[in-house]
Amino acid sequence: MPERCWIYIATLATFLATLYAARKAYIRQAPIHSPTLRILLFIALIAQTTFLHLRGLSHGHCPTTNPFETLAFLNWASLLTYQLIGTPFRHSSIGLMTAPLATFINILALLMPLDYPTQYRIQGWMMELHIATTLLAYGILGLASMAALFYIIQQRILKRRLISHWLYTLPSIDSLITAQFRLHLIGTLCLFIGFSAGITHLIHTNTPPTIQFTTHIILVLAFIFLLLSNYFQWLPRKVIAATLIITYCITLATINWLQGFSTGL
Amino acid sequence: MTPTASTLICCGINHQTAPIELRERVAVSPEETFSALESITRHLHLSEAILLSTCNRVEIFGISQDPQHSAKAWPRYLTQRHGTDFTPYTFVNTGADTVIHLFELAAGLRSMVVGETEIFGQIKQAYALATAEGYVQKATHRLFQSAFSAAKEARARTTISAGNVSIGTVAADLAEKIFGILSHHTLMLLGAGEISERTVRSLYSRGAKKILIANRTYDRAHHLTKQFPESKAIPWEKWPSYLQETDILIASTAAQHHLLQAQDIQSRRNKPLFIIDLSVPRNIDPNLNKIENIYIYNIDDLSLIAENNILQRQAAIAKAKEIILPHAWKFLQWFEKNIATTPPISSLNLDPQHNLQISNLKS
Repeated sequence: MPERCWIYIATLATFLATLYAARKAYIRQAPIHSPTLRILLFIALIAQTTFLHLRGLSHGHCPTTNPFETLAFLNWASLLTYQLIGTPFRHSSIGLMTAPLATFINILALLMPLDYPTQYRIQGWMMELHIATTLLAYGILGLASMAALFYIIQQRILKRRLISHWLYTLPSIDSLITAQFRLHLIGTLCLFIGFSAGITHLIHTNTPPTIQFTTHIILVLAFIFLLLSNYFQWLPRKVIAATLIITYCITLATINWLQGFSTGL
Repeated sequence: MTPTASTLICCGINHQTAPIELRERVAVSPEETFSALESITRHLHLSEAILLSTCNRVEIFGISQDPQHSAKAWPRYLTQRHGTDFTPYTFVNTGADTVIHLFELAAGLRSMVVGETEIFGQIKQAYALATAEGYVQKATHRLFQSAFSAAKEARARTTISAGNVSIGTVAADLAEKIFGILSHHTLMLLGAGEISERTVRSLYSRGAKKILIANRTYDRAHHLTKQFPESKAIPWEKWPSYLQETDILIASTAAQHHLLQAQDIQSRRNKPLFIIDLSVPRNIDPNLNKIENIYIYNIDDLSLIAENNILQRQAAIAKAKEIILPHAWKFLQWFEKNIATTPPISSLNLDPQHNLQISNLKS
């Protein structure tokens, strides 16, 4: 079976999970607690992993040579996060965010002409670790941004008193704040580890810093600053949530360009 | 008499047929259920019976050996027992009407507040009591089990029970929307009026146990703490000093000015505060809602949400009835096959609408 077929399977599973979650949420008007949702997202994770594994085998290294693979990697990270930390921590609300996010990213990856062959320069295991951990971090931070978006929406609804029944299908403000903080913390830690691996590689190979490297530093610092602002309450929550989403969108928009720092393309 | 579907009978008196003054006279407490069942089954010639008695209804579901006799005996029984002519206030359903009535009742479609869930528990309790006393046999057992399934499906697949319809429960819903689990959060009540007391009760039932009560009359506040274990009365002058630890504030005083100003809550920073202002004139400056993490709802806001929820429930009635009908049809088929011998369902005492719906289902 062609490698891309696994992404089709993953997209179908996440799409079904989205429909299932939305339908359940509409009918029951309460947060979802369903093993079906978890099973569907597990199938998506398996399909996504198989794709990355097959691509990795054909490349002989971490499959992040083009935007398609990068997005597949990002999705894999968010699906893995759901399975690992989603279950003990309000599996339902995280699931509610994971399924549509994963569907959107996969559809985007499949529709855009992003899966083109590139010349990839192997740069050692430290750089492979950097790429894998950084993409994992971006997947987790994607979920943190989703939690932040839900927070902003729900806060606005409650402030304006536009109460409708679907509001009750969203997690509470309190659990969104906690979800956002925990995911942000784990994502930033992974980002920090990945970035440290990248710097170590640069030091070992005496490579001069590039503009991508500088941008990468700024983004890492921005995520750390937002995390600290949240913890020490330096800024209002809404500002932190909005800035986290913007920072993440910038990261996502420039991810392929940033990858040049890692892959030397 | 050979059992037929028309031997299924429901005799009752409820909020649609009788005023509260009469309903309260015929109400049966759980302790009286056994003697009431014994007496009713004897008078009405019932071979199986389940007695449902709530504040809105007293209804008996059963299998009658002589439905015509039972229909006449029911108002006579009430009249003899309570000394008033109950004939204009009672109703009797037989056959498929009984089945549909019970199924809709269990789903909350026949309740005063459409979709309320309490009735489901009350029917279950009535069923359990009658079973324990040996009044439930094959037919009524199946009838009630089918009613429970139908009601569960109707509630799960429609918005019939969605949203709450009282100010207290709507406030509790919103509090849960903001804080999730309420047991870790502190509630402060300013003033002790009737609505605020009911609102606190709703929040208490959802887990809010840390309750601070401040009233201009300390004794009144202290008296109220007896209703809520773990609650604490605080002197009126000191309530602002407890504001920092408060998550939910209910204001319900007769004050003619705003009790809370922006500077009072500045030190809270990012900590959310849910304010329920039940007083008229309002005790809380509505402009505080502009501050992040402060959510203010006054009595009009809460009433509006409750009214919308009622409308939403009413809109779901037709769909819930559609869901219930196949269950009723399935039960009647089972009854016809296993209990009744004649006549066939087509000749049952169904109104034209039911006949049409059932023939649609058949096709």
